[in-house]
Amino acid sequence: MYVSTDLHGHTLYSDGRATPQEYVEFRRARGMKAIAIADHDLMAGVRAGAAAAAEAQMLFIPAMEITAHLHYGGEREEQFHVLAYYPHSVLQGVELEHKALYRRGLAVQERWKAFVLSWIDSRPLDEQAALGRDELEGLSPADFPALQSTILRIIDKKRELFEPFRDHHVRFWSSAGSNGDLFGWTPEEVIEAIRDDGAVDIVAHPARYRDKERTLAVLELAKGVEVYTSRHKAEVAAFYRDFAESRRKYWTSSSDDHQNARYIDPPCGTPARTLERICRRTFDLSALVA
Amino acid sequence: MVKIRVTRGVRAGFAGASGLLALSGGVAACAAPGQGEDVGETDEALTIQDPGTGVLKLGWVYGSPRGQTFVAHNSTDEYVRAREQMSFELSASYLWSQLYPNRTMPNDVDRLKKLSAEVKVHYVKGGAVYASTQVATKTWTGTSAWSLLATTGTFVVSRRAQGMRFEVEISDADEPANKAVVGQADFMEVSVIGGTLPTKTLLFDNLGGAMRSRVLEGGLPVRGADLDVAYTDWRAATVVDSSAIDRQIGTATSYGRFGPVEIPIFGELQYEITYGYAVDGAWHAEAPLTANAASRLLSSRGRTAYEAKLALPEDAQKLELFFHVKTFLKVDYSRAGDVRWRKYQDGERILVREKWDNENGVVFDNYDFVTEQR
Repeated sequence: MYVSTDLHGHTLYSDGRATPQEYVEFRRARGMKAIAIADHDLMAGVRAGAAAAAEAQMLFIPAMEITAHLHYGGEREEQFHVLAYYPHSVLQGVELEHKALYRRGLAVQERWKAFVLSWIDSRPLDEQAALGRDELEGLSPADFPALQSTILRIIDKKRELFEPFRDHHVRFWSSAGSNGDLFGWTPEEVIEAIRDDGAVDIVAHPARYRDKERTLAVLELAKGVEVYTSRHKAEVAAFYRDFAESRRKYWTSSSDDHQNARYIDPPCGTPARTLERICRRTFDLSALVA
Repeated sequence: MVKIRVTRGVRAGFAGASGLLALSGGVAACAAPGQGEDVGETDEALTIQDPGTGVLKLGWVYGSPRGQTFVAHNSTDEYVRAREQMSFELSASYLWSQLYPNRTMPNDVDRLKKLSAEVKVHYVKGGAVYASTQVATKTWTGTSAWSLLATTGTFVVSRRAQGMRFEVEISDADEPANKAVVGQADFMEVSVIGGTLPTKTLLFDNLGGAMRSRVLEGGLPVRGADLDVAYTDWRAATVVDSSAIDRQIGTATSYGRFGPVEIPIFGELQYEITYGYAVDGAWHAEAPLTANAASRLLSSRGRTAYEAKLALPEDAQKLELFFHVKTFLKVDYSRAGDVRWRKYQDGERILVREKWDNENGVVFDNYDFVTEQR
């Protein structure tokens, strides 16, 4: 039994362009029954997304895409993303805001603000003024433009600074920067943190990573695999679906939409079993599958 | 299926208050007699007789000043009705976070049960508060700190209410000096259906692909009274199958973390909805419904209801209705930045789909409603 889903996409709280409301409305209009917003390393859009989904009578799953690294600090360093899916029930009260990884997201927002301001401060005074440095400094970390919004601001105010910023921004995550305490975790450490937080760990777009051997080892450990995503060709998705089903792992079907290209509809739903595991309850499948 | 009967002549005042106490089972925390009912009103009016029961729970709603606001969970449908018996449910985590925003919540159920709250309900009519009532937390459920919920006593929604506003005062028996008040401005107003009888509301909406038409107050449209007709944006989108409309109006170069990208530019879909109606076979000219982006029938910001008010004659026996949904693509390149390809002229408004909304989708068939006496 499969449910029409998109469990991985981004909003303007990370490197997407849509507001949470636009994100949900887009998927409602496509007839989806269960969705998640999975921004990079934070859950700032979850509350607004959940409210919009509730209005549309869709199942909303609080989520985030956590940045880990393989070979952090070494020559083969590369990012590795693990999705964390929380049960819907964490939206009750303020439980969500007390989750360890939610609080890590607040730290990410603070660091991002400091990172961008520090880069602006390294520019000549006329460029600082053009980018509205003082206005940006006055914003709280929660209101500070995230990656995509920062890029669009730079394009709008000082187009020629786009390439320098693009070259610089990768330092925020990499070992060349100073955020190893946030992003220098191994996938295994992230998986452990996700489980400690009461969430389900699903490896995002596993075909993307260069170190295939290590990726397979992480997949063996993880609770689940993102099988269908716009980053997987059909035969790749078939391979990971077979991998997941042969090991009784949970698997998902999503888009990894950033609103920067034509939307690719997930070609298949997500098994109801996966949703039931995430939410720790069974569903009235007739309502979700209808 | 909502089953709500409408009856005549529940007189306000002491008799009404007695009914209230009977309904609430004599709960001590309930409103004082007269407060939960129509305060100071002595007129005779139609009343919803079986308005159901409901619980107001805190939920996150887009547009709420503090995110969390009261959302009704009713035994009928998504709407609160006049004379509905209601209570509030407040999580211990919410109470703690409002009272002690800078303190970590203790993982101690007994400690959390020392918290309490009084919720004031202000009834709104014609945009102004005309009466209030209040209830206090009285029972706890749940075994862990995060699942611990306080439930208040019950109250009965005032017969004339068109809306409810709320404020919450939180106390702590362990630290009585500490109090917190979450004011009216921090909660969204909750609409109440049935406070304007005999005027009723005929709502045309949808649930997924299923089209619905409902008299929200129950029963039938009333002869010799106004009838509010409302049609929702999502129904219009479903009728015209908006997801299949090509909204692309061009392409633009934009920029992402991996470099320049060519992105599609989409236009906005706008609806113009007209309706035709006949009373006892006499058709009126098709007329537009008015777009209302702040309709009391839609709880969240960003939605639009298309509305009209009909005056039904005293002798009206049958009402027939149909709708005509025109969908326009609004072309606006001003927000797109570096436009590479323009499919249309800037500012154009193109009719992209036109559908009639008839009963069962059958052309020349209409939505039929017989009427009832006042």
